[in-house]
Amino acid sequence: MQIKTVSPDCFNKKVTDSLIEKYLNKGAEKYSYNSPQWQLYCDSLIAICPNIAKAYQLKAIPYIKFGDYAKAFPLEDKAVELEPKNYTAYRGFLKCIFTKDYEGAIIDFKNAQLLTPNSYEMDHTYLFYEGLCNLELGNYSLAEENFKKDILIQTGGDTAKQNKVHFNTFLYLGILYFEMNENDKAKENLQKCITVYKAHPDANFYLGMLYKREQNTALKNKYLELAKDSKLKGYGMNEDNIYYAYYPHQVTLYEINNEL
Amino acid sequence: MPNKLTITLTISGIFLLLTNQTSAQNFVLPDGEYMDTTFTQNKKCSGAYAYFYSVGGKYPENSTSLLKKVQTFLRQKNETYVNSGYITFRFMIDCEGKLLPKTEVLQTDEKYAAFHFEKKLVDELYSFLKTLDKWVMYRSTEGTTYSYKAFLTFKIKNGKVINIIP
Repeated sequence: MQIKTVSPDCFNKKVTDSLIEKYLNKGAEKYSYNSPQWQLYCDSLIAICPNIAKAYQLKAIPYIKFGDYAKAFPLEDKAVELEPKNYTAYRGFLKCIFTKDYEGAIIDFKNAQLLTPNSYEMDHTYLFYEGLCNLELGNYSLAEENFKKDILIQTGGDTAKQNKVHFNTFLYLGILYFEMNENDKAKENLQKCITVYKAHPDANFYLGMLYKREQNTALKNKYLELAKDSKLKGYGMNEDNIYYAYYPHQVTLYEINNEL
Repeated sequence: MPNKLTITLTISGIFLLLTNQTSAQNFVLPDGEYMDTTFTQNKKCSGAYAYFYSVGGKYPENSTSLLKKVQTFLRQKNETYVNSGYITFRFMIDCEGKLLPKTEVLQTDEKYAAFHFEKKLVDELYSFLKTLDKWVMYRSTEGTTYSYKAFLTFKIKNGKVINIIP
């Protein structure tokens, strides 16, 4: 007797959505991503329909978060190959924050900007991350352009809508100007950051460093003490992924105490 | 009177002893490659463990600070290396904040493909890792201390360490 097997139509969105619901939303995601069940559910879905990008992205999570890049990136690459609009910026984000592959991240974000212009990834525009990468690579003029475009996207070009700008955009623009030795612009942007988020430890730290540069010991100590106090009280950069990696130019108590 | 074969073997043995490099090989096991497979259990710790990201367990100095330290450490050795990519060490920090000996090593090139750097560089970075002694001791809100898994990655560009993750 011949047993007939019926393969699902992996190109039918209703079918793939129901498989994602079964194997990922109500499957893998009911477990810790470090559990064997996480991999089993992802692998099962890949075996049924190897064209579902999300299965590869979820499968990669425990590897990227624990330094196994050889296992993580082939999976991320597959997700990008299958659904470039959904996963190019995500891969760029991983390269920027998780592997500090700034050149690689910039390529991904430039492609993402072509695919889905002016969109967001992990709360920030693609231009924000390009700015971070260029800042870390020392390409300061390019970084300045990137952050200005980032602000343009967030405000929709309306200069009256500065309240729409993420405080970390102001933080990084402030840090950029600090690195460029443009003290007034640095202060202006770091103050904007603190206006939104008073206890931001990194913004307070870099303000302190600005005043150190100006040999204003009183204000240097004031802001460094604020930074230290914020850290001790558990305040941070307020980015979702700070638990897994230090963000560019992010400081710890060690760096703050070294300056006090 | 020793024969020619005996003399040849003796000379070869002396030659090998004089020229042999003393760096040990890594341990390749089914679940990975290790710098050290020694498993020790601190009796003060239960077997339970977390991952560093769940317990605020990143090393308490930022990437720039650690980078300066490792660059200084390597300069003292005065060696030059080549190739680019990532060298990652994965290990356990016990419930007293001590780095346990068992350490896995993962290496990739800059395109994230599995790769092997020169053993001497890997050994030097492992030696540097072992100098880090400020790992956070994780204590739960109930006051119980736990071990946690952690990692440290060295990003290499043309044989030089240019960044540290996380």
